[in-house]
Amino acid sequence: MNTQLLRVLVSLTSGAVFGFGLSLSGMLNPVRVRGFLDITGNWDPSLAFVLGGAVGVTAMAWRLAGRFIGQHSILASTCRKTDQSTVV
Amino acid sequence: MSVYWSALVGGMLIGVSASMLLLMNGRIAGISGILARLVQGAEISTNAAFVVGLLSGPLLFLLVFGQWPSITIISSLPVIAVGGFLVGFGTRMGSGCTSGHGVFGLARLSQRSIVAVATFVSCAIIAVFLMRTFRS
Repeated sequence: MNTQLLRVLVSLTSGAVFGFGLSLSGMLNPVRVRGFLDITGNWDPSLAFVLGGAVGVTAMAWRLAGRFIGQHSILASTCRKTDQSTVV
Repeated sequence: MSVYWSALVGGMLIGVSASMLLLMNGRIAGISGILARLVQGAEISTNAAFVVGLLSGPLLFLLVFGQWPSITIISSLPVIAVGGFLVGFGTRMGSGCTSGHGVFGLARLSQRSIVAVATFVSCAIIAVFLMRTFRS
């Protein structure tokens, strides 16, 4: 399989995992997000768990990327990690 | 599964998704950025694949759990339209949204992202408070 096709498949899978995770987290529901922001009302701390889980896992990947991959990712010659000017 | 466990596991899956994209493709899983680049016609195949995957997420949830993820809409359509426009405008102006700044930026301890997250969370808290005060 060529590299471009692999990149597309990685993007598709990454999107699907993101969408499934977002569905599982309950944060597709605007009422749940609002519940987190409603600190003077019936506060729902769920969003903090979602963000904590996501940031924790991503931070480990960030460390891994720095240690093992350096300036390149596996399927692309350029990696956004080293491009600080990029728009996220 | 309690709501906090599903929130934590769901969040970790979002982290796995972002990690895959970084380690394999060298890209940042910022939804607003990916969508904007797609609309601008940049890296169409990978960006479109991500969006298709993202939209299939609720369908996968249905296949696994036998029900759609619950969504409760309490706002009127005009309010949602104005809100959507402001979110779109603001995320472009602020160079990122909840995924780019919130997940990725915080994970790499980016000062710009920490400021962005602190700003949009505190403004959203104030907005919710004002909406609650003036509606009731």
